[in-house]
Amino acid sequence: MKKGQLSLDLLFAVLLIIVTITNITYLATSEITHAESFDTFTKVKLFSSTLVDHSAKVYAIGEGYKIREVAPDLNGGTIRIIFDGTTNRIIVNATVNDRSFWITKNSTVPLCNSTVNLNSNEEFWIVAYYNTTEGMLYVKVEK
Amino acid sequence: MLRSKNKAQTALEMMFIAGIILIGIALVVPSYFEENKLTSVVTYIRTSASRACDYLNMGVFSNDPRYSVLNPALERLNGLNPNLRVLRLGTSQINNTIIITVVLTTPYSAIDNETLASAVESFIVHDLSTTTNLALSNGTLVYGDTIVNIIVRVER
Repeated sequence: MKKGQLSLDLLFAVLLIIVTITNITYLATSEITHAESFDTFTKVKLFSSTLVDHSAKVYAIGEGYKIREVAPDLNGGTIRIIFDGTTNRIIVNATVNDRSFWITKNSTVPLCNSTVNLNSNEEFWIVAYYNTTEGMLYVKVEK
Repeated sequence: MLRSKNKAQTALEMMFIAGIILIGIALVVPSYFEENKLTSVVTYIRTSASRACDYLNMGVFSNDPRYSVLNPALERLNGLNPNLRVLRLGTSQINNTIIITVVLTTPYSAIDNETLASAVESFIVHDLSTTTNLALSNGTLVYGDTIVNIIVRVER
């Protein structure tokens, strides 16, 4: 065999390797879109848990207490937080690239109906609010 | 004269060797692709099943068409983290049909496994038909000329 000449069986081996590599690459590219979705899932989940935790803390400290919160970075997405006083639930609804992601969490402390719409990294407050007519302490969100 | 005859002889030997290599290729390639097909189907199903588990464990709803299939099952869980994971995968091949059994496991006994299993099953079928080169025909997955049947079970 001349120097620099490729043998047939080597080419064949290369072909089989290429087939395997194409397969793996194909799988990896389809994985990327899923990974992006899961990134948002995790952020929304983490944020909702933080909200439940911090609203309980604010309630425990008492009237007039405020905690400053920062919305997660959702790659340009928006986030909407709903405190539902009737069912006592915290609903976090994120919209990223026309896709919605939402989670409902039960709150351990009484909530006051309130809603905030936020952009990524925007500030808002969790406030302990005393309703004088009812004589009850509630937790609400405000910008 | 002698020189040219020798030359022709080498060429003939070379052709013979090349013939053996080509026959080898013809024998190995189909079985290699067949094996590769089964391996990639199993890999697709495995990743898809663990994605379904991740979605259900996470508890975050989405209107993403890939995941919205799982939303009714997620609603039934009512905020509980089912701690689902893929326990094992079984494959069996009969002629042109591959049957893949996916067994998921959860530590909770109060979970309705039938709903979970059927939701995960339809998620995998839908996910594979949209993101991979498996096609959906009459409700069954087809890969080339091979029929792929998926069975999902949830165990404790």
